[in-house]
Amino acid sequence: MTAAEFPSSFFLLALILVSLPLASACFAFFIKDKFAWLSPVVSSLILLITFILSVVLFFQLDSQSTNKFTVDWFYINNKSITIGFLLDAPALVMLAVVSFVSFLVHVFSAGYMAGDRGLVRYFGMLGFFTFAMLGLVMSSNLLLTFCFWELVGFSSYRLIGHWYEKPAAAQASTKAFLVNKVGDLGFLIGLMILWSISGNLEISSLTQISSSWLTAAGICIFIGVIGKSAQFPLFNWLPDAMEGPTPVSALIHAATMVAAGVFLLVRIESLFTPACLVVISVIGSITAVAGAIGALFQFDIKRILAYSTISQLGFMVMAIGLGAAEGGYLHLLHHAFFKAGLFLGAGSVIHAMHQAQLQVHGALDVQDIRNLGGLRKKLPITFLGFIICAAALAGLPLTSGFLSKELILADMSAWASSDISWRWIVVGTAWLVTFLTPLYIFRLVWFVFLSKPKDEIQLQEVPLIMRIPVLLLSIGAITFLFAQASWRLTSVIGRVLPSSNHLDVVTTAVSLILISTSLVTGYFIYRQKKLRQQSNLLSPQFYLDWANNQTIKFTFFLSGIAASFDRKWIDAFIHGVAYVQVTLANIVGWSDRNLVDGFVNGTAYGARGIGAMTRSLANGKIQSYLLWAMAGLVIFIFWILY
Amino acid sequence: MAKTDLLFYLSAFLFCSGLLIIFTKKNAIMILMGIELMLNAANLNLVLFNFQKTGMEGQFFALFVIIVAVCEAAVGIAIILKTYHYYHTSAIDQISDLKERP
Repeated sequence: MTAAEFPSSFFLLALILVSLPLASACFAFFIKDKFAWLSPVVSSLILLITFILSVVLFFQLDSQSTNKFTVDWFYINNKSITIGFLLDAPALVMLAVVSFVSFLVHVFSAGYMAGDRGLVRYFGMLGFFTFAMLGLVMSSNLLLTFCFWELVGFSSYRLIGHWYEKPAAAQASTKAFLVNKVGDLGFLIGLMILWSISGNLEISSLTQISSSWLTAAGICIFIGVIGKSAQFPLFNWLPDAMEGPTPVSALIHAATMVAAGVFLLVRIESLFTPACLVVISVIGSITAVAGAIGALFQFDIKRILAYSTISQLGFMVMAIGLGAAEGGYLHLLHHAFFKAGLFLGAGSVIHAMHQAQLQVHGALDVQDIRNLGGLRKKLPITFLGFIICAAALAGLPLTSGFLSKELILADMSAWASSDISWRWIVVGTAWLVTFLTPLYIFRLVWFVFLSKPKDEIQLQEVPLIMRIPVLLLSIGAITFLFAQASWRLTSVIGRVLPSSNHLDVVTTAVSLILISTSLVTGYFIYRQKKLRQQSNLLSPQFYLDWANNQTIKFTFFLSGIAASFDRKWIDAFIHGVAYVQVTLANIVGWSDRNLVDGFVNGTAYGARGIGAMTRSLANGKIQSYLLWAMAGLVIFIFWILY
Repeated sequence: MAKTDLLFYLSAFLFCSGLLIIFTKKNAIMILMGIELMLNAANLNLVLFNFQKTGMEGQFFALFVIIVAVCEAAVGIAIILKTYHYYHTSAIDQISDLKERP
């Protein structure tokens, strides 16, 4: 804990771990264009090493005496701000997941981005993105977390706008950045409030302080989470962010960007007051339902997945808000795997379709599910990975999504059990989301893979380098890797979750019924149906953009009123005061000039007169000097004689 | 006694008129002449006071003064001549190069 103590090899490893992706970014920065082909290879290798290191660290955790290493950073008012690592079990698991997903995304990108002009820049920013997220996960101090938080936002801005020559991409990246800034401001204000009431930003020693400001601090920090994790009022940047390359979307959705917010919530969960938790759960439930409904009505394959992410994030945030932080965290980990798998699968589909389109010089929008269909036979491996991940998203048994969803739902039922209150609404939305999720993912899978082929495009399966990551991620989406066959979480993740033993049969039965109902409903709705043109009701983003614009207009209107009030009253008052002051100043100035200065000038004038008189004796004429000398001599002689 | 008294008065008159010339005249040559007058007055006094005692010191001293005065006049006139060549004037008021400019 002391600053002078030399870090043990554990923390040195952690330092190496976090700086490896940064090294990858630097490598991409300095490499020559001639060796651009090296960049994917080197970056992927570096990320592989990072992943291995994180696993090594995880298994070393038990033998460590302390899981925290800090050094003093600077002092404010004799209170030290420290930086350092806080490597407890949740952080280490998150490290492993982030580096694993990032590694697979690197490998996938090597195939997906092959031939792109900005290849080196792309891999450099991927490395930087990973570095920022790893730093955020490891940091021991909220201020340091905030720094990495900003870096995550910045690198996501660069990656979303990777194809900056596309106006939509440039716009989307700017939007993501600006919307995130709104949240970041909240985060910063929250940190300030927290600092002023407790003088402590160490994550490991955050405690409840009996202060009414704590609620404000919690809500402000949660606003940061709203921006970063795309919660209800600020989620409209996430679907737009689909303009970036698909592997970047996978990274943003699974491991780095939006996971940061939920991870932060888990980290500082002990800080939130009951009032805060209410806000969090309500916002989360609104987001979950809005995202699910949005996913149901989109046609762009990536946008569907984006709305699905919003919905799932809302689900996690809601879980944390009602005290099921463990379930929410577990769901975050599981979500990282299956959502990355879904995005990479979607990337494979887009890539394959794009290649086919290039051959026949077609101009089809390959991301529109109305133009896709029957890809099951043409892309069998991708289909396999995609369907497993989709099952995990839907929460089918034997998948990881089922497990964490059951945890959350069971906790939720226990939380709301007693009387009828507003809590029932939150729980109801959770069940609604459980019902809607299989429906929209079934719709996606049906129209992309299962329905009849649309036309006779010759598709080729994507290269091996892009198939492997999808398959690996889909393996990660299967339950028994993370929990053993019994319902108890006794495996690796079980160490993260101290009390995960309340899965009850009723919840499981109800959710199973809901999911199967939903799938059957989906089958009968979509079996025969042709997709209509986009419905206006839910386009494009729940009027959120419109609401944003209205908010801005309203703000302008308010500021107009304020401005006219300013002009008419405040300015008039200020002018009046100014006139009085100027008049007073004139009077004072006059008296100054004429009285005070007059006295001073008079003195000076008198002095000058006397000076001139005496000076006139010394006029430089030798004869007058002689005259005066003689006169003095005469006077002296007379004075002596008489 | 009365004769020497008159001579004392003459000496005082010479001295005063020399002084007056020095004070009033602009021309350097006139000032030099005033100085000569005053020296002559001093010589006269030396001689007169020597009558009241034995010895010839007064007369000899007067002779020395005359010699010195000659030298002084020669040097003085030479200086005046040079300054006249340089400044084209011998009025001492107008020769003020060493005085700091106002």
